[in-house]
Amino acid sequence: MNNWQGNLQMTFDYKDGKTWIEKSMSVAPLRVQKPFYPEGDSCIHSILLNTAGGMVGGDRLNTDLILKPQTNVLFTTANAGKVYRCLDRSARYITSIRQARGSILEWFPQETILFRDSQYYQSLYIELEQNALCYGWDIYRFGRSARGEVFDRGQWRSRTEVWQNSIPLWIDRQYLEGNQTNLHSPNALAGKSVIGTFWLIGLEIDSQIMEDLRSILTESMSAINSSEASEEIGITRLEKGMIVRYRGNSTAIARQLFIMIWGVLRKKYCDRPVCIPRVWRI
Amino acid sequence: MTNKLMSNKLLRILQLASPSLPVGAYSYSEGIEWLCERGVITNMTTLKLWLDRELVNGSIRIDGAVLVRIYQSFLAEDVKQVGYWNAWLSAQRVRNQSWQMGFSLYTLLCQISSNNLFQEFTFNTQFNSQSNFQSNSQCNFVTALGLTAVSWQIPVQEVLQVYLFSWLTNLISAGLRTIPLGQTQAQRLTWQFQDRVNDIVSEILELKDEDLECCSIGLSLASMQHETQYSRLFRS
Repeated sequence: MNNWQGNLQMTFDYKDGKTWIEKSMSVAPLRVQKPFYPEGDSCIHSILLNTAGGMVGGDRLNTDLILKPQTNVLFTTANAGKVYRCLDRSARYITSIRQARGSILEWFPQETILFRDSQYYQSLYIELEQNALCYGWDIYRFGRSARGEVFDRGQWRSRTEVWQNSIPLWIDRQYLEGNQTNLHSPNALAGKSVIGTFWLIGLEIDSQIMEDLRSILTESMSAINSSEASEEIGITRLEKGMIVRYRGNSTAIARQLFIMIWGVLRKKYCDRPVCIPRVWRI
Repeated sequence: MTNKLMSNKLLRILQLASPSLPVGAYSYSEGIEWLCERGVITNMTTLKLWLDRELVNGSIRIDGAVLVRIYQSFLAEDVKQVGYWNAWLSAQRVRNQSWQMGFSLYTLLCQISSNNLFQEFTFNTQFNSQSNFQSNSQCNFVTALGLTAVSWQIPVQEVLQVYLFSWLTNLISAGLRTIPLGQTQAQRLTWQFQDRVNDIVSEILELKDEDLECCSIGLSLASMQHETQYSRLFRS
């Protein structure tokens, strides 16, 4: 069976108030759509596309991105990611991003659906220069739960690392093996099918912002849990950043909560309101 | 002389593993308090399941594996590598507990180990917690523990047993206070974990750097929500 070995390399630069694509090279099935500037020239919206639709065992997709000084790039994906049944090898998605001083990365891919029996390895490695900032999320659905499928077989590995001057700012290495114990135990999925993480790394978050975020989340969670019980969210501060974890049953709720957090942080640290990418169709 | 060294080793291990070692472990429940309030942990069975999954899949494995790496780096007198693993661990999650306990243990050692192995060792390796971590992140508990074990000549497998056993008994004691459990139940539970702890020790000793991964979603949600729990006995 033939496997995809997709590749995407892009370099962004900033000149006269505009972030623009200096270089772009892609090998199928990875592609990037024509960029949008829905909120002015300084912030570019770049939409990544896997034209194969999903991944199978043995597929390997590589993305290398360079953000030069002062650029502001928002990435999302055209569709939800899918990882189909894998026989013996895993599907691998490797992303590496280098951010120069003063650059801002906004990394908001749509959710990834892990089919029963899929084996997925994702790695996101970000290197920050001084005064660079990155924030983003990942949202995973374990099994096509709408049709009653559960992730009782399969493997998920997710590695996210952010480094600055050879010092790790955040290292997150998650591993979940699909089995009955992990489906139900409170240490892992706790009977839920969706987990997500929102992160912001690169600067010290002030206490007021943490307070604001906590009260916004408490308020929305009590509204959500009054109708559909037991969605969970938690937020905590890192030395240079913060992370939020979600565990529940709805990718839409995860995204809705994360967009609220994004809104508060974007206003505070980038001085602009949220601009929903049009491919999300929400 | 050999006899004296051997019995000293046991005494040092007992001192390090004692719950009366004043590093403040008892004031942390690592999410147990929140899980009890939430009704996830309600009795000995559910506490046992939680702790067992943490040992098999949880972040305590990574902490243990980093303890091994830090121990070996101290042994090789490679202070730079100690700093690397300490920073690596600090980047995992919020480390308030680990930093507070690490600082307490390091300070304690400086005070009690005058004119002996510890002083000589820190001098030889030019290890000083302040200058090594100030610019970076603070001294984690496993870093101070690895330093202690090397300078007190405790073998790596035994300090790993001490670490996991102390973690376990501390959380059982947190369960004892919050569920609550009886003393006999708590002792029975500790007893039942013997084989599991030893199996995990062997597994951790075999882990390669690329195997340092865990499933920490349940623990991180519990710890995060504990930070804002309204009424609590334990620190976050």
